[in-house]
Amino acid sequence: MELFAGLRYEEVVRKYAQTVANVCVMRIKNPVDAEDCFQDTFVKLLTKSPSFNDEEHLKHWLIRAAIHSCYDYIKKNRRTISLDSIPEEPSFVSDDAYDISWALMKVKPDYREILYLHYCERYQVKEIAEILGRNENTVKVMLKRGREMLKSAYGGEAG
Amino acid sequence: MKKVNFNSLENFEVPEEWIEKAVNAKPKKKPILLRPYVWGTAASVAAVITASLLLFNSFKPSNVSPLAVSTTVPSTTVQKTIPSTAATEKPTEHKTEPATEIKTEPATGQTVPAQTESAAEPQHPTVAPTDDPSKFRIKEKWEVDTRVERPVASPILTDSLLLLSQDELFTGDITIIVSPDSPFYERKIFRLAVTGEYSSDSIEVGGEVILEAVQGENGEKTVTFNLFKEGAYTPSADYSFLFYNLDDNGSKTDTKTLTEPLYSGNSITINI
Repeated sequence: MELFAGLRYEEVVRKYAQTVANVCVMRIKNPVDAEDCFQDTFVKLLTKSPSFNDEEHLKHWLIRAAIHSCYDYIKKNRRTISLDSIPEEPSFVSDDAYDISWALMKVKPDYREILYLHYCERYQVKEIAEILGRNENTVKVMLKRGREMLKSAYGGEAG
Repeated sequence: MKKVNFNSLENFEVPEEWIEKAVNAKPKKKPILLRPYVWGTAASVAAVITASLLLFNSFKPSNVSPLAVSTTVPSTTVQKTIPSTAATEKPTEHKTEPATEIKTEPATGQTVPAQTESAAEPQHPTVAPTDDPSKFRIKEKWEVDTRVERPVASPILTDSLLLLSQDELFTGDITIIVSPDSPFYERKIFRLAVTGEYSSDSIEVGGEVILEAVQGENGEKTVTFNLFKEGAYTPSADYSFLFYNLDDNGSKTDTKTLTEPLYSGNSITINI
């Protein structure tokens, strides 16, 4: 049985399913399509079976793989998905006024990703820069602008 | 103003079936054509085959006429059988040449080219396309003739010469009449060098001919020969005929030069 950073494949899937799913939903907006990216991410893990230094490394890799799966999916379906077909508010979002998901969906994908990684996955700017392969300063600026976009979309105060 | 709780995003719960599906996922197998090592192997095999073919071709016998290979002029030797009275004289030079071995026959008066007997259908390089196997036989024949120790005027033979058709070669007979007052009359075997310049490439072609004349009825000696039938390579052009005798030291004497047009099947007569 192959191990990924000391974890069996099934353990990896169960442990990081939530993270990968969130990244995919964040990017694709539609949970049905996001599932394809979710599955693709884990298939990549199985197919490529890279070696990881530790669990953190594994998590980074999964997030990056999920983002790339989403890119690929969008690229492949660019001509078949109409912007009009994308719901204004994600279907999985509850009516809870405090749920920011729908507001996050209104932010541009690049900013959305950074906001998600920073606020939900609790990654530092440096780590986000590593995961996304961007400059640290760029991430800082995008995080700031993303917050402002979120504020204007939500009408609240990001904390 | 409300405070935003980013953790609320985690409200999206991953369906169990997603997880089950992911757990039971199987690694994708790349299509064979997308595997880099497959392309690498194919490219290596192709490179090896190409290199082998090039190497093989470089060892193949060249397609070039022996004129191009040899540094000596091919010699076309024509023999005529003569009455027994003349049969004893042999040329002092070219002892290794088959042409010097004169056939003696009883005085039949009939003249037969000796080489034509041995090769009923002469091979000719000009009519042979590049893939014609006969060109190799021709080459051998010409190589035999390179035993003549005489430097060639221009041994270069281009493709344009090789690809000449039979119509573009001189195929006619050459008749030489030696009058009694000719310096060559006393000799029964005499030599001439035939050289011509092929106009399209300015390439000199030529050869040496050893002839044995036949005593005619009117006191003249005559000899008729056909370069084409003897396998000599003579593209249609103006040719110079250099007649000469050889003295005891092997030097040319009594030289006489004539220029005659040798075109297609036209036969010519030369009086010397």
